[in-house]
Amino acid sequence: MAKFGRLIDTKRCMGCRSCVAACAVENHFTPDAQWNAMIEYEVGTYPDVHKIYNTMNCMHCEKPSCKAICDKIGVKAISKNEYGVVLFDYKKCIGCGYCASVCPYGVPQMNAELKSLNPGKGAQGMETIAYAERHPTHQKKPKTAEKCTFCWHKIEKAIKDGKTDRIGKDQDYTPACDLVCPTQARWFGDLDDPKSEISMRIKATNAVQLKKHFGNAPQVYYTLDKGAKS
Amino acid sequence: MKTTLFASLVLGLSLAIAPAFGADAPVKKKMVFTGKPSMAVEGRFHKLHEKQEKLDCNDCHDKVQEDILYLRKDDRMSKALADEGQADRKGCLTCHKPGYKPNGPHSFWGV
Amino acid sequence: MEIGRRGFIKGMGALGGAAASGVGFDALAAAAKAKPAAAAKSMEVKTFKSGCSICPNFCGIQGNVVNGIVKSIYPDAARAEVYNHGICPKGAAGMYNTYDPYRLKKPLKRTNPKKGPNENPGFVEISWEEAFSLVAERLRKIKADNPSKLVFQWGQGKYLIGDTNLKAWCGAFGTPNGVHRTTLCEAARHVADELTWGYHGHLPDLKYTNLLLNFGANYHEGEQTSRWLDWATAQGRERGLKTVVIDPRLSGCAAKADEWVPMRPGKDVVMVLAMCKLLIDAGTIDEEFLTTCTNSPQLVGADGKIVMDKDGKTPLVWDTVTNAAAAYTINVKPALKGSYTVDGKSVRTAFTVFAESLKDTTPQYAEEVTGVPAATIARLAATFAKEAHIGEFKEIDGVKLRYRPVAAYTFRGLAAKEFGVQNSRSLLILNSLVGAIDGVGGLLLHHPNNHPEYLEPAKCDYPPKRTDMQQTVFHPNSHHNIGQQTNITLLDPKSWGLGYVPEMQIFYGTNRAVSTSNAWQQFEGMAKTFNVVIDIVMGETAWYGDIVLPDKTYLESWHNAPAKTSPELGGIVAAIRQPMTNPFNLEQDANSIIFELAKRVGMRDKYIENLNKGWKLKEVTFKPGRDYTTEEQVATIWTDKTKKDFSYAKQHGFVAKGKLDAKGKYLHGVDPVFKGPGKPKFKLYADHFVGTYEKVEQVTKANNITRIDLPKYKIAYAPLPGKEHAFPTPHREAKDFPFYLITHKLMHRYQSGNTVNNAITNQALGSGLDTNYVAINTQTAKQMGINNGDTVQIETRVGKVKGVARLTQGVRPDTLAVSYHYGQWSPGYAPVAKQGTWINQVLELHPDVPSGMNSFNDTKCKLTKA
Repeated sequence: MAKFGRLIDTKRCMGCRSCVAACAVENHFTPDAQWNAMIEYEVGTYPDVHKIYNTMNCMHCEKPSCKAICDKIGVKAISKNEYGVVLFDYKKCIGCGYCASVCPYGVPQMNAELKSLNPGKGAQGMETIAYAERHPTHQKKPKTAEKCTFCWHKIEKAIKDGKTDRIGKDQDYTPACDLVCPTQARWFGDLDDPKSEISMRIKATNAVQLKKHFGNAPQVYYTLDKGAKS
Repeated sequence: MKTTLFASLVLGLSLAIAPAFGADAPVKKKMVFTGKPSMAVEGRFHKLHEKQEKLDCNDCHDKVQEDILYLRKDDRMSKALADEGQADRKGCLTCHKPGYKPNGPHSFWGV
Repeated sequence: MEIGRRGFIKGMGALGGAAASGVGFDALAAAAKAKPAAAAKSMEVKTFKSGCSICPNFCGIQGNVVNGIVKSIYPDAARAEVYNHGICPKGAAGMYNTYDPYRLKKPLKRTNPKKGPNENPGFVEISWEEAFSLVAERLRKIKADNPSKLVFQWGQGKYLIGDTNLKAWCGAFGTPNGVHRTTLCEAARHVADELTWGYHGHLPDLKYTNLLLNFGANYHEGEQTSRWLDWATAQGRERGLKTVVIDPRLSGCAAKADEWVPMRPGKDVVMVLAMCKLLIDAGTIDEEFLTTCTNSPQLVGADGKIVMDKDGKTPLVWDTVTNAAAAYTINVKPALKGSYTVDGKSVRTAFTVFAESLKDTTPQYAEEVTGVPAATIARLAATFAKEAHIGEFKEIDGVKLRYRPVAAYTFRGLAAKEFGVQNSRSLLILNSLVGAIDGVGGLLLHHPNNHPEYLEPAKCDYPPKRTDMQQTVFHPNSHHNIGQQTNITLLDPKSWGLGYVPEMQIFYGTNRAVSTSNAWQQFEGMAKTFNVVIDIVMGETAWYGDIVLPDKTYLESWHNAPAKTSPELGGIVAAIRQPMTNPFNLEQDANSIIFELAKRVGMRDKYIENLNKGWKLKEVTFKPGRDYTTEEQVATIWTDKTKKDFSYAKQHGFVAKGKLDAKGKYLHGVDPVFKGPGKPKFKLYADHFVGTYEKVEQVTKANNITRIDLPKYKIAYAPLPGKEHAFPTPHREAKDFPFYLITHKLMHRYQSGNTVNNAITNQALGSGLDTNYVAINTQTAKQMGINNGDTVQIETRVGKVKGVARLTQGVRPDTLAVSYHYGQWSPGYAPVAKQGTWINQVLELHPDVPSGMNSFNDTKCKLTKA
């Protein structure tokens, strides 16, 4: 099978947060529970200073701490599937928060309640799509852990359509964050295929994983801008 | 402000009376705290680390190093937020490090 | 060895990145067989190819509609090769401007005649019939009396249904007062272009540019053509493009630049001229280009005008063959430099006039004025010259072309100033010195000399016909309307020489007053007219409305959409926007509103006739004597332009012209139009400014116009940019105000109107993005005892405003930077929209004289901890 992963080129990224916005609308964002965030920080002191933009989403680790602890306590709400995607099962989740406590990347989100976009003003836009009609990854629950799914609903569609070769290429089969980027700073594809565009670009740009010392082996790589942290 | 289960533990931790833990706490010890997993101050997670592993609150929650590569916006490990329940996850690796057996007491880290 | 627990924890960092090995991961294997999640119920999914309308990038989009809801907006994949590869966060979240529960949904009528920020308008809902009836009745009276008494102001509205429709409507009504907003954006850059090479619009040739000097352009956070500039600079960096950003703030572009040069606000022209001096002194200039394409060799007399041949209209140059003054003909070889005597009078070439004007503009002087070290200026000038490859050629598509892979570029950086035209012109001159204009990798111009009249002295009309004073003696070259002027004129129309008192204003897709310097003055003007406001939200302009009419958004209505292409293509043939949703079941859009009003005012057929003319329709035209729905209007224009059935529009959304070959890209501009004898010239030396000033002086004196300060106009119309253009009024007068105050955009909010309620951009993009801050240099703040998050007060000569301090290394110590699209106050907005600082209310307004451009970045201020 494939091991899907992402490359984010912080040299190309201009910090626009389009990926963050696209993630939010694609994945039924509720306030205070971002699946994708833009971390920006300054490097240096005036006047020798520049800024780094580092978007973060779930790293879909090869060795996911979240899954390990969830399994350990017998809840087993977290899976890592044959495509390398780490998914949370909202129905099994008991809301203990262990996954969030152990993730070195601060990925899992825990909400006491699912807030609406405009409280007191009724449902708008995606909020009006019936709960039962949403993809299971979008059937969010309060007191339940949630996070980026690599837009699993799209990968799943590719599998169903027999189009896994188009993942990362066609809009229908590519995570929303990756396809809206104005500067093409994001790549999504099969890390197991050394000839995939993402694999070749990871190699060509000496891309790295963040916080490797935690040993999680993230499937999200970063091409580092000058002075960027890893 | 986001309401996470972590948030609820914050004040409790800062008020907790930390015993003077020995420097050479046992490496292996049978898990004594069971019950529903919880990140609450009095919940399983904290009891395990506080009572069994004899960690001081400050071991995790003080002197938090700057680590902004952290998605959850209200849980960044900055010094400014150290008093709000943030934990330095690097500390976890002290025990949960490569080499521990899968089913050993520290296996949950998964590495 | 004993290691204390604390010490052990501290020391763990040495663990490094060793991943686990030999450790089983039981769950992984099991999970690898995880089933796909249970399928949700089938949903109806439709896709629509359309165009974004939020900003003037007009990105191609694909709306994905699930069960009738615009669930997501992606870039239209087919536009990647044409213009936009992606879309910005505003566009990706654009549907939440449509699903905004705070939107206007019914026509409203004001019941409280008093207008003010604290006056409750007492709006009551009325039917569309009543609304049309009330507005039409008033329009009929004005039309019968004096149609000029109606002012129709539009901003982004221009890009919704098209400038052409609005002008056609105004034409049918008989009012000259259709007013757009470009002076609130970049008009001075356009006018500098127009007065230098006869039309406006330019872009760096980023496919080949190796060095881009960016003076305050900020395409990573806003601006036109930015979705192409974003992508093209990212591409360029991978092949070696270097970018240097000169800006008082570490802007989005500066953050990605190879070098950030923090310059003191408003002083750009001095740095540019110092660079020009260095290039000239070093001889690193493209003499061939300057001699053959620009008016540099033309002879300038003591009066500052070009010396003409006996016919009075052919410029003379100094012929090095005959050693005499001559018209530039085929056998003449003009001297670029020198002082000569013609008919007993001393003359100098325009180039020499320029070079000698730079005598005191040394790098050391520039350092003193701009705060940029002389060594940096010298290094940048030398690098610019070196990278320009002066004298070299590159063959593309078999065509030998001037190879000049450097460009100096700007947008609002040099334009949004009291001397915006002069500052912007200095940069065009810098480009011309190395021959980068229309060179491969240089600065590509859009239709040089398309309007030859721009290269002649301006007309300087008086008395004015228009309320915005366009192209009058007040602002002789304001070719792009003057957005902020009407409401100022309204305060005392007679004092501007206006022969009538405006009675009514229609505002469409604009929140003009909020977006303008010295903003409260604008509201005073608006309070004097009967206002009809067409918009999607109850903005501040609508708060001053007498009748407020809800518009549909770009996801709800049909539009003939403007659209962009990269410089690699020849442009767009036609593009549309199409409706995808209508959550509030709105009945009317702006197009149908103005059509209905045209009908009720009795000018429908005249409007139709004007539409045919305005859109230059040839085969498929509007027919008089009948009504047109918005869709029918859009279809008519599409069909005539593309010769394709409208079903193609619905399916694809646009038709673009083909890719340009080297000849089409590089040899349509300067070379055929300006190069060689007997042709007009790129005006390095703006001799026509001398003529314009003479007219201003003559008209002013003849009419005893007290509003015009002639010495100031003389500086504004100097034929060459000079150091005096680095000293706008507040820099000279506001001595007790130590800080420079600049404004800028942020990527996730557009302007100050209909995107401020967006639930996604306000809440989903990160904490603290639903407000703005006062950016203060960290060191400065520390010295003043100001910490991150402190409330601070900014005081200018106009007023005081509070904000929240954000300490940063990314701004000059003497400068404060505040984004200008927050702090809305209309009670009709979502609460979140009112957060932050509305900085425009304390900015001084000293419009650029030639263009009327707003001076957003010239104000000085005091800063105190509140």
